[in-house]
Amino acid sequence: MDPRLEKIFEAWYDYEHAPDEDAKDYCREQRSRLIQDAVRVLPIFYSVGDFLHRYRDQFRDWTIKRNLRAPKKRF
Amino acid sequence: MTKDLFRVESDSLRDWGALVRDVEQFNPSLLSLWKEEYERWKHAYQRFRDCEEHTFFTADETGAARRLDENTLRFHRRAVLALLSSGEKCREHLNSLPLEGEEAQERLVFAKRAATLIDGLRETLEVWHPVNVERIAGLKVS
Repeated sequence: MDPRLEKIFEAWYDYEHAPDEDAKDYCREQRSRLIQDAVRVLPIFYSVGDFLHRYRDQFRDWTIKRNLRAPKKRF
Repeated sequence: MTKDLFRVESDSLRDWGALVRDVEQFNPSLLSLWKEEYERWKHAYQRFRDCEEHTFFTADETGAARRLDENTLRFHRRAVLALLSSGEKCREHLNSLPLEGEEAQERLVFAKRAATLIDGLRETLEVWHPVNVERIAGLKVS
């Protein structure tokens, strides 16, 4: 997997599993920043929302594997 | 006659003390009532996320992703829409409270927290139940 995508998935996972609203807000900003950096170099334009949808199934598989190692509570 | 220290009802002063402590702590402000409403909504939100985590992001017995059938996705969508609707009402309720001073400042904090969860639900809806399916289909990763 592309290390940039891996980094985004980590940030996405942190966002989905943040312990409270304030942490979630912070993690969302971090994830958006990473995605915006990534889509800037892609040949076609994506919004953050398009990106999330495009990679949702990959993220799902990645999260399932991640949860097998050390599951966290979703929030 | 020896006094039984373990019999609470025999000590009326202690009973009064406990009552006064509870009564003085009771502060029926509009904001504290709203916070109870928000906590109930958040509890429902958390139940939804727990259920979603189990169905979408936990492996089945074989270690593979669970199959997301039509009914599961339909229930998922209904739950998101219901939580979005009640969450928006909860936020509108907060904004309509006539608050002053510190409570008015606290309102801003809670409005931001509610917005974070509502935005998260909206994102969930867009990611799993997009309206413009044709455009999205062109973006799918094979």
